[in-house]
Amino acid sequence: MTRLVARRVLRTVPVLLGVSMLIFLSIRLIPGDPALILAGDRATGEMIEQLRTDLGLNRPLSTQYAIFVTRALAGDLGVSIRTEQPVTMELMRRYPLTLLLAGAAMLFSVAVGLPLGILAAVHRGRWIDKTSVIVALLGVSAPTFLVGIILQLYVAVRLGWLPVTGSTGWQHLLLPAISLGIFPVANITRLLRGSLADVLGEDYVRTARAKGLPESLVILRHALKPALIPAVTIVGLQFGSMLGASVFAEAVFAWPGLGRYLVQAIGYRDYPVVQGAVLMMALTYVAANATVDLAYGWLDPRIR
Amino acid sequence: MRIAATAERTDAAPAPARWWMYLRRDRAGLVGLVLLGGIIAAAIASPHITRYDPLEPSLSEAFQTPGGGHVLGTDQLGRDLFARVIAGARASLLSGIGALAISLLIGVPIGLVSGYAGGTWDDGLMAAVEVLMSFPGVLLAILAIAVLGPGQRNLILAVGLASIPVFARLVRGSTLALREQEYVTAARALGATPSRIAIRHVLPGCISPIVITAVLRIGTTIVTVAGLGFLGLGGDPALPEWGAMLSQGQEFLRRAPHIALVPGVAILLTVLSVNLFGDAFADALNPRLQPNRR
Repeated sequence: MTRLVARRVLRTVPVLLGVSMLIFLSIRLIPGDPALILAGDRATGEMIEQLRTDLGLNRPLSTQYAIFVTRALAGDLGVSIRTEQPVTMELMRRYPLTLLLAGAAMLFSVAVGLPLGILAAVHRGRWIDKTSVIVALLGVSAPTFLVGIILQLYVAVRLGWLPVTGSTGWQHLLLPAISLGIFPVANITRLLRGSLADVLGEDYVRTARAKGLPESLVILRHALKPALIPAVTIVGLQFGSMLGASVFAEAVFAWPGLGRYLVQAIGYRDYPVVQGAVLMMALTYVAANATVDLAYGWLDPRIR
Repeated sequence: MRIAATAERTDAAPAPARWWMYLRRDRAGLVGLVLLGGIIAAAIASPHITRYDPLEPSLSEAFQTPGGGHVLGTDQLGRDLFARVIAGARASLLSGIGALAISLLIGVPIGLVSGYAGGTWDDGLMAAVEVLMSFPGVLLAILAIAVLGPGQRNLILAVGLASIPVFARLVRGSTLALREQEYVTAARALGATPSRIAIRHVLPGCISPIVITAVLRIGTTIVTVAGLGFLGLGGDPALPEWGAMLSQGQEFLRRAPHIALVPGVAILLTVLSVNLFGDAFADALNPRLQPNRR
């Protein structure tokens, strides 16, 4: 297992180099002087010159990239054009909120998707199965921002049960987390329904039934574990893609996380922030996917 | 016996007719097809269906609820929502298809070269693709917009870029399998150039998975375009684009929820119909599910 972990972690190194290079290059692709772009319109000539020396903008691209990586590794992602605060500090304030949102959404999707998938597989063809199919279909078809607005309209505005926007208490977390979690609910349900139905047809399940075990034990103790493997993979991969979708949930509910900050930064042409926020999200995405691979190896000894 | 007869008959039929035979039996797929057909028809005919201009504000008619002189009501500037939503259908479908075309035009050649040339080409191209895949798709599109600047054309380009890895990897996989086929070896023995083999002999074999994947991706593409429009990255907010309309409607949820609900329902119906049709279409083209899959 240690070797597996080491190998998987090593594999992320070239990927991370590529990711940082893409983000580094993207700013250089914007037409205009990078010093001016990274310093902003309000910067004085002196500040721009300072930045030019700091980032090595007069030196070859490879040197500039080396400077960028060295600084990023030391936690220095530059200074926000709009607030003139260090980007790292600004990101760190918002990052936990995005993780909290994605974590809550994942919890919701597992809490709903798992039982729904199991019930659907066990009661194949009955109303609960048909409901799960419709839920799954709507769930994959309704984009996060649409689910968010519909929840906001009916639960917050009409019924007044939960706040419309904000981030001061757990009540504020519920609606964004649910809207972000709907898509994974659909995926988990669909996948678990399929894989559990397959496992329930296996011989050893029939043996377990034949020796008189109650059906609930047959499912929970014998059938569920192998059926969970594809579902776990999907949950993990969903966590990664939820980072992307969190941008929408945060926009609808004014949740002050990384995604909303990124979109605002694009509006202000605050490129150091854009660069930092994208880097942060990509790092998390890569880490989440590596974790999924490892969890997969742990659950299924065959692929180690 | 009847099954065997059907199998015989369908094998003899040309491909599109055969697909239709399977599709016809899939009720959910048919619903999707009909719905999608209606949306496409509305999108094509949009300038002629209604006498209202999707862009013309009329402040005296603002915030009208659906049902009156305006079938779906009016928005905060008194613009007719029906006119806007069908004009939006045109924009959404065109952007979705445009984005898909971009990812195909770049992704397919990458996959073909990577799979057929192998070696350094393969290593380099796949490393680049893996880097692209290290971003959630939406994030990649957002980064592209940050570089290119907001606007409808850039948005299409950005969303297209985000789907390149999907097609590159798909085509590479199919190419790797096909290049070892005997007919390819035969072509090589006859002295055909690598590019000719790749384009004339390998690529045709990849068409079916490419088409299936493209159809299944349409929904995602439309959603991403609308999502970026919702975030305000689509350029001119006056243009009738579903995502931007939804975002404007959000401001008036209390007073006039229909301003948000009309484009919202349009997005949902479009994606739903594309998904229903896409699943059925993929099943119909999947040889493993034929001839009698139910």
